[in-house]
Amino acid sequence: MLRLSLMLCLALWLPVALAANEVPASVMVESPELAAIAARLARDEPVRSRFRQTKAMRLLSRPLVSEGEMIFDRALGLYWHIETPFASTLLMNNEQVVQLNGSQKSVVTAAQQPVAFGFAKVFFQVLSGDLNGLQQEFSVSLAPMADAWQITLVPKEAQLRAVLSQIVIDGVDDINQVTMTDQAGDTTTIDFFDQRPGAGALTDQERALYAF
Amino acid sequence: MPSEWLLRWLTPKLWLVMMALLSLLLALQWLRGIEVETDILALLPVTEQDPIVAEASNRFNQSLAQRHLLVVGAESLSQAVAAADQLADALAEVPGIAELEYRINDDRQRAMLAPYLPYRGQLLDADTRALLQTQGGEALVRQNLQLLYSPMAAVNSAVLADDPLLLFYRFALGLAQGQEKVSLRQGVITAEHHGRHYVLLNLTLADSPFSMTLQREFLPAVAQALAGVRAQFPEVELLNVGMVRYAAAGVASAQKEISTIGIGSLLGVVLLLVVVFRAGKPLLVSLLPIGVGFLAAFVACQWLFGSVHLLTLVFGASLIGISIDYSFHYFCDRLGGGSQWRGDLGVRNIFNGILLGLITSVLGYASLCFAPFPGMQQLALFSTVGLTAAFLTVVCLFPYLAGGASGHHESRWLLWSGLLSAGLRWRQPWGWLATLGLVVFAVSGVSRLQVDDDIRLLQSVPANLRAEEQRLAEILGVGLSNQFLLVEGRDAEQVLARESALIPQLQALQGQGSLARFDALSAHLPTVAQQQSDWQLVKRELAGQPQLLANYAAALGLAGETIDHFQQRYQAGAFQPLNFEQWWQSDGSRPWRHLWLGKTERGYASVIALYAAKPGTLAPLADGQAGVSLVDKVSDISTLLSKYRQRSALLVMLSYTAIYLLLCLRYGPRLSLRIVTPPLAAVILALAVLGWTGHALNIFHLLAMLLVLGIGIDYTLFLEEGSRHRQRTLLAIILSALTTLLSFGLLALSETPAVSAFGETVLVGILVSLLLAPILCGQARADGAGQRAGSTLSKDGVGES
Repeated sequence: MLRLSLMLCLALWLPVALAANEVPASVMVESPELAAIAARLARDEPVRSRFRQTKAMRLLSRPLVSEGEMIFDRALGLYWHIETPFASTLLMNNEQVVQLNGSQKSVVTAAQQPVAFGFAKVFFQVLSGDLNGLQQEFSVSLAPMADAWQITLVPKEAQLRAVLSQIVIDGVDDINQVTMTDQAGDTTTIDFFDQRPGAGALTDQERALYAF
Repeated sequence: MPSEWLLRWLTPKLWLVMMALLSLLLALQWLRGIEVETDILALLPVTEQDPIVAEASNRFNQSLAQRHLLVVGAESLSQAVAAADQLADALAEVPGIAELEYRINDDRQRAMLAPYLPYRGQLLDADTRALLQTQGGEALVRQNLQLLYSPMAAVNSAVLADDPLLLFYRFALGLAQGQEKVSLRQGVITAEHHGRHYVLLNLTLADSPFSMTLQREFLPAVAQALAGVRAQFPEVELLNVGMVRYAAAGVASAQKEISTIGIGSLLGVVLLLVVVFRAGKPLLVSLLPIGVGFLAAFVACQWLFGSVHLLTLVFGASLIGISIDYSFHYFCDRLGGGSQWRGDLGVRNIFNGILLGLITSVLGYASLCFAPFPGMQQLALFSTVGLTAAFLTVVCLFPYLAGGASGHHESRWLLWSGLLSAGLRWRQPWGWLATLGLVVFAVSGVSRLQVDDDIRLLQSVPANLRAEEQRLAEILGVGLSNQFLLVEGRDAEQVLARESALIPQLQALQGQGSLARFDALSAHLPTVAQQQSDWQLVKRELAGQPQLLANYAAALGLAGETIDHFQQRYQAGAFQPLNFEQWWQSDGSRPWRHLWLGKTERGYASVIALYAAKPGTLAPLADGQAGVSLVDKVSDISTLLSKYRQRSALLVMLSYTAIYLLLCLRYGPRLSLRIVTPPLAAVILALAVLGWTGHALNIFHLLAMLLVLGIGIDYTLFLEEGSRHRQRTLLAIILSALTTLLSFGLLALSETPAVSAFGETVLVGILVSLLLAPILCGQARADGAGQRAGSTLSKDGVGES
């Protein structure tokens, strides 16, 4: 007869806490140049680099500058270690972000905190050169220059635009600079330098950094 | 003889009075409107719980049952949205929809957060509260700095200006927890699964899914709308999930079964009547008690229960095979009665037998009333009234409708029945050998028996509906909730407080992987007491720590006035509660309103919906907690089925004993044992067959065993009472058993496990009773009964010796 369990509690109510204004779906442009850059960024070798992040927020009288070391590995994810102004480590993969401070750790998982994770995911996709993934959420445009390139990402969804108005990625071989600008006029610029391409697979010591 | 006295009353006049009464009642009911109930829940016992809890749970279930979901899936989101747009347009023409949630153009995030904003100083998420309580303001400030230096934080100047310590930022993130799979994109509700995009259309139906009108109007129209979308977008995936589809499938299957069983039984009856009696009159006359019985049963159910359940009609269709029995006895007596036979004499011949038969059948059915299932009680009433009406029709009316002797007396059927009667005798040593074999079969079969109390006995879900439901659960990441906690309190504040007390335990279960998700109002609105204590906490740990705040401002380069604004919220007397009523009226409560049940007889109640909980992990939640009840209808019903399975087993034993003792009054202990043995052996063998075929025993098998007793004992009684006319009686028994076997055999084919279990048991039981009855009963034996039978042998008709 009737499917009782379903009848008892057909929870078809789908709570929706996030909102968006209507945005026309933009047509994806697959340019060969973009594909070439994506292929270069998507290579299997881990990326090792130093970084300097400059967060300029209009409300704050001076930018928040941090410096440190990062590793991006396709299998293990992102290791983001801030050295100054204070030591702090972020570990991130497809499922979660872990923040480590000395003995303390806090975890944001994609399943538990989708909103907080959603923003981190964009950053992850940028660093991993996942242009295909980014095209789901962003209109991607490429400005090739003499021996460098610049990719501009503009969010398709108003929900994301409310936080982030655009991302500009500059690079030659690897990514050299990422600039994120938000609706409030704040910018976050991350410079990557001292990259060490060709250093091979992760060493055991480097692998140990991902443990938490 | 008391039967003489009874027979004087059973005249056509009585029958006419009965019919007049029936017609009157039917006419009255017709005016009021005939109700056919289709909700399976109506058949189930009220779970033995607090009536207020039961009422509140029903309210919640009913509101959920009226929700319906359509899903459009495609490779790309834009394609899915295009197809969903077309579907939404088509739905405008579909009747039965109270509300469609599809395009969401307003800025709902802002609208949802708006009611909280003025109170942001006192709203904390659980993690932040714990941090402030255990490690103080300094730890929070440190975390904030890390957050602001992190490359991934979605904090900008606008956020920081209103919320410099990021308290509301944390609270708002906490509100969005647990909605992993569903998000708003391109202005519609979407979910992503394995790289495919799904758009959700959320419907609320205008009426109960069990309303036949709704089913008739809504479902074909939706199917048509979906077909239109499929024609336009052949590659999209479409899901159509809601209670109304299950309800309609149940109705369709029941209707199909009623007609299969009804037509099958009628054809069988007609065939037997034509083949055996080879005359039109018995055929026409025999259909009358069936019709009268069915009508009377229907009227009685309407009158007593207010409606007739569809499943009762399925069972009731099998009544055809039993109510024809009385006619068979009448016409078999006529067939074997010779040219001197008269209707009134015929009735006299069979009266004791069929009256006892009626009484035992009615007792068999009436014992079903002891099962606490309203469905079984209805079935019992239906059958009792139906059989009684059929009996009265035969006794009162047949002598006048078919009172003359049969045209042909040399019926070969009677001859064959005579041969069979001679064949079915107890013979040494074969009888003992066969008995031994059967005992071995029975013992080994019964020892293999397993039991089953699963709720699925009551359902048969078409595979395509189940597949769609499973697909939906995959896409949305969580299955459907079938358990919930009902939380009561004297007012909303107490309800929320009691809910909040449960949340740490629920989170612990989630952490262990024992619970996939829960939805609770209190996760979206702290109690006023909580707000007040959080306000005090922030005041103490942050607002009242000027040095800490100054260091924080200095580390960030934050202007002093931003911090001043923050501190002002914690001046004495600045606390204003965000109370339930205010929140309830706002958009903030919108997605959660179904969880609030409102006023009950005792106060107020809400629901915490639980998803995919591991069995057995939830019970401690409600134990000893005031105002909290765990409602798990599925397991409640299984527990109940198990309890009543055990009770029914006892009832079967008691009934057999009671019948035996009753029979002792008339036949004495030895002969009574003989009479009661065939149905007893029948149920034991039916159990053994279940064991051997690997079917698990459930309550419906046991209830069927009561019926086997009620019907099976008829055969031995008829043979015992009719031993003077053994051949006629045996022929009548064989004919009636054939129709009973046919009816219940058809029930055994039912898609509903409960119905087919019932059918199977009766099928096996009747077969065994039929075979054993002539061997054990009514034989001309050297004992007392045999003497009695022997003395009247000479009166018997042709071919009897």
